[in-house]
Amino acid sequence: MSEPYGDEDAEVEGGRAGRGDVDVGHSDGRHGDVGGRDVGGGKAGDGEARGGETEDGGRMASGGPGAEETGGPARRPGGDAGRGGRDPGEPGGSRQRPARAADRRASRLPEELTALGRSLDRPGADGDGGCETMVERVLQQILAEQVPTPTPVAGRPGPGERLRRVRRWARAHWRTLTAVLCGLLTALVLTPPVRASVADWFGFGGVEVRYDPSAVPTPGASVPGCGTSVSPAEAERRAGFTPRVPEALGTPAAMTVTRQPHDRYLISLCWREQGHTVRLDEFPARLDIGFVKGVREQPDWVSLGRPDDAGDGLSDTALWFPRPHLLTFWLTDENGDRFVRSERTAGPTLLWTHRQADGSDLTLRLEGVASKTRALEIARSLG
Amino acid sequence: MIARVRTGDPEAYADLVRAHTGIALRAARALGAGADAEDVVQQAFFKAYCSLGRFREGMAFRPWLLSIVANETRNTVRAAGRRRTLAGREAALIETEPLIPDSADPAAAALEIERRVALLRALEKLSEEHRLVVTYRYLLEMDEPETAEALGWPRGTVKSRLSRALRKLGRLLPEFEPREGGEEGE
Repeated sequence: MSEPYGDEDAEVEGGRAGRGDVDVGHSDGRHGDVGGRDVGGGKAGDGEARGGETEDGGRMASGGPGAEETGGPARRPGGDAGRGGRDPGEPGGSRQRPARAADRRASRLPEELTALGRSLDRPGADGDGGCETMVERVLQQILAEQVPTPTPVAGRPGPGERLRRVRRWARAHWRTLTAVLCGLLTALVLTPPVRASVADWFGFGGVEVRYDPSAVPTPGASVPGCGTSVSPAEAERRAGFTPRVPEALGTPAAMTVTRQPHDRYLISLCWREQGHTVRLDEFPARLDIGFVKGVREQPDWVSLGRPDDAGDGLSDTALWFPRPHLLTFWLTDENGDRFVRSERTAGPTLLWTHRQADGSDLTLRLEGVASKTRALEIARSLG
Repeated sequence: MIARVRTGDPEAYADLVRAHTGIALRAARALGAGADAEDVVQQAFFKAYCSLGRFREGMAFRPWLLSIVANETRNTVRAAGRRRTLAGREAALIETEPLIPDSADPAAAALEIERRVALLRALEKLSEEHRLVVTYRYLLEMDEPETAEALGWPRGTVKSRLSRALRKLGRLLPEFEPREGGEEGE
């Protein structure tokens, strides 16, 4: 690394010395408007002619302004020029000439370089015919290697590391997941963007985060309430799992159970806070997609700061969706037996999983708390 | 376009490939892929597709693609060493001989080729960074912001390295004025 810098120093000095020459020439009154930098081809003779004459001037110029401006390193060109004069063994003339000629040539270089670049094109082979061949070759390779449709992934280093952990976890549990996955494949093929988020819902069972720039949320949407409440015992009996209540929120004002496809149940807890609803959805983390979140920007990966009990980093990770986004979820029809995908705008949401005593995971999504800090507090206070 | 590719529309990627094949091939050749240029470009397009997920919205596709082409080229020619790199580039030039307009007389055409070969040799003598910045900016005709993006350098760095590289290149080049043609002896 140090070599190029040394190089660059030398180049800067060289350039300055070159310009010094021109200035000296100018003061002689011989070259009214010589600019070493943009002399055309015709001035080659000028450069030649001055090559011998300005040897003195060259030394003067580089010793002068160079030394004043930069002190130490400026001695180099001065030394060079001096050596050129003192040491007749060295071809002093040719040492100086290239430096000035170089400036002149450099001004023409962009043009020449562009021409050089263009000369690398093959009009025949790279033309339309060549493109089509390339298109075919590329598409064939993509098909042959069965590459999934590319979908944006979180690119920041922190999330990237978490994502890798999730992937590692997914790999470790691959066998047990295969069966479930097979059932999912049909659906995945139909909706390619789902594929890359596999990692996401492995970590957050049942919730898929789908990047979708066209997912425009409706402004002013509010958090839906829980509707007709049931008792905690009743909720537990119907849903088949115990709802967890975060201490930070206290006893919920309402609790409902919603049936999901495949005999899964969702428990929703609601609180009223300053005139609006805080809602906590809980369901066992499984590998089928219950919620789909369509976001226009990646959510934040945040740490819950809990002891990493599972050792895989997952239980400590939460997703914070700072902005309103589209939420797709299952609803049953009036008879309660056909499921339809329904969509609404959800506000800022925290999504995390909670490892329960029996080792199973619960997925929780908290909506209606606008502050990330408070949402995390609530998540940490989960009983 | 990228968004269309991400929805799984194969024709969208075909369009991207179509639009960038020319410049990608030029890049591969300029960076020394020689006869492997087409394989390198195919591989680069394939890799670009695979990592399109990491492509950020709002980025320009061309610099991104060309940095992948550069990587691929490097991987391909690394084993063969730089000798071959230069040989490949020169070969690419000689092959394109017919490109020089027929109107020019053969002597001028020969000089033109000689001059380009000399330019390539001079390029070869530059440091890697200088060579890259010149190649991206002029041979591949990208503007400074695109060059900065492709190389992952700050814009100011591109500017300063570019001007230094040009000056150095000018010094490395033999004179090309016809009457001074004999000066080339090193």
